[in-house]
Amino acid sequence: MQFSDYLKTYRQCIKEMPQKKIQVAFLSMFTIKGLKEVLTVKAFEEGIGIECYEGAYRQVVQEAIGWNREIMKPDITFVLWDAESLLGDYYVDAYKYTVTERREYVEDKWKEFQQYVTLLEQNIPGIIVFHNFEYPAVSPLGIMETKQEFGLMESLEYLNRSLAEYCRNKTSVYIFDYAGFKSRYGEAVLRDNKMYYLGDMKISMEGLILLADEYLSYIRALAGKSRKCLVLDLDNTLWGGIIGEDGMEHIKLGPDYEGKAYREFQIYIKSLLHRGVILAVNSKNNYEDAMEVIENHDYMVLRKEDFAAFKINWQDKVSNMKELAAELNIGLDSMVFVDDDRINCDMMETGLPMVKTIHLNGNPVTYVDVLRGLTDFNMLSFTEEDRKKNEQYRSQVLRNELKSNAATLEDFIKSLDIRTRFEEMNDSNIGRISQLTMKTNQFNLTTRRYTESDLNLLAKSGYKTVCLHVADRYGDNGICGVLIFKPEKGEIMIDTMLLSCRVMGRKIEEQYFEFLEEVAEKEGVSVITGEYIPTPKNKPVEGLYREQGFVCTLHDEHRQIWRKNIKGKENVVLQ
Amino acid sequence: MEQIIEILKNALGTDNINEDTTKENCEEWDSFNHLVVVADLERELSVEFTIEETERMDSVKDIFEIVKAKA
Repeated sequence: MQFSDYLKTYRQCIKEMPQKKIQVAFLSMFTIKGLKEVLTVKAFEEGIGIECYEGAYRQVVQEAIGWNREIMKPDITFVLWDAESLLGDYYVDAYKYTVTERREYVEDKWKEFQQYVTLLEQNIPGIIVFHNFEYPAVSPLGIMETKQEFGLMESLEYLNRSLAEYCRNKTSVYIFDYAGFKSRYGEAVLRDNKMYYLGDMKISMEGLILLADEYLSYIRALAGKSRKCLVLDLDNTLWGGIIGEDGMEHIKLGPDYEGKAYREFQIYIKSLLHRGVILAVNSKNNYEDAMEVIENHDYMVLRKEDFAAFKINWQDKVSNMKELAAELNIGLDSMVFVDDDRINCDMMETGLPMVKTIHLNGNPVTYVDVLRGLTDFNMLSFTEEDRKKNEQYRSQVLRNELKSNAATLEDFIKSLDIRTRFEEMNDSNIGRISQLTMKTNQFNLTTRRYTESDLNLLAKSGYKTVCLHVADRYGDNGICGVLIFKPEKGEIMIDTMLLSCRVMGRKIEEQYFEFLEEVAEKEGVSVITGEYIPTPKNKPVEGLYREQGFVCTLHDEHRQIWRKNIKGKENVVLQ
Repeated sequence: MEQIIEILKNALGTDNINEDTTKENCEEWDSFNHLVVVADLERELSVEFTIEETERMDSVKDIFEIVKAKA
């Protein structure tokens, strides 16, 4: 199914959602639009209902700081914070720093990120899943990379190790191996540079679909839908050949060639056992023949004691399966059935559709990968009671930490080291200014769209246009804001005030008002007025004027006019 | 042209698309859905657009012109 198909299907399936919905939240430093739709559809297809909250773009920390845990109670929150967003230009140009500088910088970044992890853990209930940090596909130094002391790769390894250790014992924090995910699929699949440059999609549409598959493991576990039991056929599944016909000496199970493939398949299955998966056998064979192999064959990895139950007989496999479920006291929907025989698989799928049936193609070199790709055995360690107990414990412990660790929005913004600069409109920035008026929807008070000639006409009619450059500790964001106003008849009238969504949530808008008050002072003007034209998209600025101390003087269904008297100037009347 | 309209209907999730549809007059055609439109056009028409071309796609007619020029 294509990305747009998921979006379309989403609109349908939200109407037919199950009553009980798992609450999912996403906080991301890059565009992940479409992810919630894909995940919702995939979950729906498995009979699981989810309801998603998408945090504001690039406002992971702000969302966490302002999180109202009385109202917003996600069962699980996915945090997508990529290495580039955290490290800034270090990610592309680490080697402009010396070794010492690199170590210091990365250590600082780790400490900072550690605080964010704690902050999210404190403020957001439920399970939190952090992405770890991805490695660039090509090292900037190529073959010389490993000769560097604490180069980029090592920096990322350091961050990932630190993150893993830090979170290991935090019962509610999980690390999603984003680095592993990326290495599995590769940049060619996960990155579409055009979409990245157009819309900051750091993961391509196809990549988001693959990511949703990964996330589904967590959702299934939360929904109690992970599977617990792997039920195996024997002939041509755990060994090559048919024991009843070929005999012990001729079945393929050994140190070389095909036999090795079957043996490694068994080794992998044994690792599942060690992870807590229950193993059982469902085979059409004479019990004695099969057991002889299991107990006595030199290269058998799985032995009798590794299996919880055996159904080795001449009965049909569907009946066997039902008996296994009863014997093991688990639901049929917790079982995965693996067999190389097409007919057995078809009968199982028809007879017991709730069992997940995996048809092996008879080529043992593929078997391990088939099982490795299954995400059905993932389990979070919680039962419902465990989770409730953890919540209570967490709240108590963290309440104490909260006092010493209170992160405020102000602290966070200060840490960003934001530097801004206003610039009057000129030939070199007019293009960007026009573009911003055309594109910006959210932080835009009046949503007036201006071409370059429109802007020139405005200038001729007495309007002043300035743009705002924004740089922060991560780099230079360029021109991110536009302010258009007109000084006229003792007041300054705001025509346009906008900010690129990339720099929202940092109180940069306060600079606009400071700027306007300076202008007012210079012009000997005592009143600033501004318009707010509500649109479906600009709710984020609904309360902006009020926050800045303006008073609403007009309010109809299309627009509002707000007004502020600059202190101390009311008495000055210049004619 | 019909093909382009069908692709847009699918990508934007609405049947309300015709020759005169533009980004301005179509509520579903926002900046994110525009990316989906681009992806679907590329896949269905087996073409590849440059960023510059995608930025010029403000209406169905624009898309038609750009696609025609590539043929």
